[in-house]
Amino acid sequence: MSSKVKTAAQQNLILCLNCYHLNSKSNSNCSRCLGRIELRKDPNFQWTLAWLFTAIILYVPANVLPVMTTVSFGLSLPNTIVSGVIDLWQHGSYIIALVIFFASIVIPIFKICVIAWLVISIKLGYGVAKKQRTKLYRFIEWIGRWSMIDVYVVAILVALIQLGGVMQIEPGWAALAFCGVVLATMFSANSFDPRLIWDSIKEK
Amino acid sequence: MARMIACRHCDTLVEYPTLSHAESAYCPVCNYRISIRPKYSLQFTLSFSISCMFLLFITNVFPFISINANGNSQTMYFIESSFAFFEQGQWLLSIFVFMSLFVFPLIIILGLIYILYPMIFMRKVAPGTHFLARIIFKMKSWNMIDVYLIAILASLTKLMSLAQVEFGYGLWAYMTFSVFLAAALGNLDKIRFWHYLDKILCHQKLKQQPNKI
Repeated sequence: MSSKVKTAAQQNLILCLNCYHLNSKSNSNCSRCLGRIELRKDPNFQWTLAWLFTAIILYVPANVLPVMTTVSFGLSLPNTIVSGVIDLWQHGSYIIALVIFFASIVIPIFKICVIAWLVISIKLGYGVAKKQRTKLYRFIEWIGRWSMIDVYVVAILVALIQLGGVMQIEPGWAALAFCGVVLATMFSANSFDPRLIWDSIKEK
Repeated sequence: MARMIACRHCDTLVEYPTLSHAESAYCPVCNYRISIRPKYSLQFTLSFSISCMFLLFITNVFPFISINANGNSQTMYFIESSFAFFEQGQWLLSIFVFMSLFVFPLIIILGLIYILYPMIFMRKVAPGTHFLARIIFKMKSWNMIDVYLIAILASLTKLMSLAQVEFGYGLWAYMTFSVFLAAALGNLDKIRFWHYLDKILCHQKLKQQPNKI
């Protein structure tokens, strides 16, 4: 990196993340929008890791317990997330099956792995591919919300299919656990500061 | 010294971006999109927010989806997707769905109208603007309106195999609403918003001065 490029931290400036105003290091609140400012959010990854472990723990009940139970003529049929995807695939709605598969199985695992790797790579002082890692962070930050699709699908089906004894859909505990997984990974990604990727190299 | 700004993702100091219409500024080091300038940024945000307000009202008043199976029919209103969880004992989920689909978007829309209307038409800054703007920018990533739209499409395929599905006016209003909300938020650039706010504040101060003397 050329010596010309300087960071705000080297110039004793802090960027306010709410309004992009550069403040001097002595301020604890932004002089423009009055929000709290810090040099780096969560520099020791305490929040990031806490939310990450929450997500990993909740991931187990989210996949083991039924996400919804279909009660039809007195016969109850529990469905987990994975069996729901397989069901959709067998019924021939391949696109929807793929969307749900990616949104509720691939993306949460991918997000957990990426955040863990970002934290580990910074802790180890890994100095290459900073741009790619920042890109990866941007991607998981953007895609996080889309995992919620499954929770909303359950919400719609539960609200709509209440046909008395003929057919009824009840929500399972996995819906709550899965909602927790997605929220925890979103909080985790939110509390991670990508500027830490760049800091570790410049200080050396 | 020229006005500087730092990249949010890599902390590199860059010159304050001055953009003309339909240009965007990217960080030279990490390629983060620092600022965009659509053609009518804040005016668009305001007008889309106002139309969103009406559309959200229509979405909630008219039936959303109704199904018909073997003579049994069931109609769902937009807000019922959160209340159904409550009735089944999952009140945590019901709170989450209610917040992300109704409360957050409503606060964003009403907040944007409250902030932008006096700024654009009266050149005044409404009280509490700084606080509200901070909340709105934080909430932006927590409104799940577009995710819910995809969820509707996903559940429709499942519903179609079980029963006859009828779309209500609420669903059409919701589809328009989600597009308009995306347009309102897409035209809202953080840097440009706060810069414009500074400009209006300065304008307000200049206006007040002759009265004092």
